[in-house]
Amino acid sequence: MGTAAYLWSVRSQMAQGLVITLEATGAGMAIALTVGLGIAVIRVLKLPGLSQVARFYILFFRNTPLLVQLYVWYYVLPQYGIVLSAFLVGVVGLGIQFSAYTAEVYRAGLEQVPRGQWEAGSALGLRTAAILRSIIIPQAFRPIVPGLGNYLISMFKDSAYLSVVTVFELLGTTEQLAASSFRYTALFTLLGVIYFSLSYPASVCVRVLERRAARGRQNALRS
Amino acid sequence: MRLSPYVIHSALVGLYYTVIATVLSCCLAFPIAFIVGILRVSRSRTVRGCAMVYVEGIRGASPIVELYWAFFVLPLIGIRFPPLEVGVLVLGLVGGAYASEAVRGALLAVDRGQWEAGLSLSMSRSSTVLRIVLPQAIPTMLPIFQNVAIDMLKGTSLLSLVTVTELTRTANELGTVGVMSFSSGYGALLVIYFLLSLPIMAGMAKLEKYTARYQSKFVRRPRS
Repeated sequence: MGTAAYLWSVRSQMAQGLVITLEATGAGMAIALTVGLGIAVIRVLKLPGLSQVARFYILFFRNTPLLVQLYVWYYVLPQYGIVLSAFLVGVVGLGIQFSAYTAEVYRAGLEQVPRGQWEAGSALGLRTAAILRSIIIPQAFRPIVPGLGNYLISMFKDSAYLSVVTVFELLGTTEQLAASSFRYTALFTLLGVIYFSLSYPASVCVRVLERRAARGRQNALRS
Repeated sequence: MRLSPYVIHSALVGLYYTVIATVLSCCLAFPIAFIVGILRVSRSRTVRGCAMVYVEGIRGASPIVELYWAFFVLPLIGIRFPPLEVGVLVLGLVGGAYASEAVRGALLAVDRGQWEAGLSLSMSRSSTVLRIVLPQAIPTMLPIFQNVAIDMLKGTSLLSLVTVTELTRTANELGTVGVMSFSSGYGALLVIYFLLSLPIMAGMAKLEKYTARYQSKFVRRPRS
């Protein structure tokens, strides 16, 4: 079978792998966005004790390899009685790792909101939680969208790590197919093409968003 | 886990390969970053384009995918390297691509007047870049360089997947053999990587202090 014919014949398996990749990315991002927001809020509110824990959390998960983190989740969770599927373990690992990054993005966004907004909120008699929810966070959100978008793309690419904990996403599927057919070159090149063709346009979009956000900020300063 | 000579020996071998791989990858990545970063602000569209192809190509997939590709495909097209060399090569190219973005951004952040000043003194474009613009750009690059250096450290754990006996693979083997339990072993491994990252951060902080003397008011610094 020629290379092209072979690649065409495995398209359904590759498509399945891609679906799992996208699912893992989406679920991981959901975790990263929620956990990261919590961590960022803790840091911005400068809660005693918890703030330090948050700072250490971010430093720890940024400085340690995702691969080892995944191993830890895979082996440690069952010991505490949490038995999850390999897919969920991977998603948790991805989500927690990227929550350290999204927390920093959120923090930058939250700190950019002018101090006056906080004061206006408390002058209206709102409690901190309400100020955050109704005033600060909505204003913080727009400028950080490109940053979060970048991490979404990174997570899509790093979903490949899940192949190490027996999840058959794109890389795992490719390895499996290559091991049985020995067509390493064709399969791995196709793998690279798939990742590139999805991540590069997305990163171009994010760059456009960045430029628009920067222009918006300049216009706001001018008016 | 008994700290038998076997365990100690394995751990030291693992540590050695981790450190060596990190250092070699950085030695490859940072020179590439400067070269590619400078090429990316070249006047020639072809040069800029080639550099862009390199950077965007590497950034298109994650390092684990590129490592597997290099490990499986390169031998089939005749390029046979030992696993450590392949790993260092891939990590260096990946780190170089990301760090070159920092170089490019920092060079572009230097005020246009500095470029013009150099050219008006009839310095060649390369002299202008190297002796006027680049030194002013360096403090801006360093934070991202720190991230790239730590990414190199984290990347060495990937080399465990291509049969390099660095720390992660050592932990794999010790766990498989039964000398240590996987959960506590990998937990300890995380702590070890964290501790290894601290000197990198300290070193970068020292470097930032040292290059602070090149900090000029002609650089648009991002409001942190």
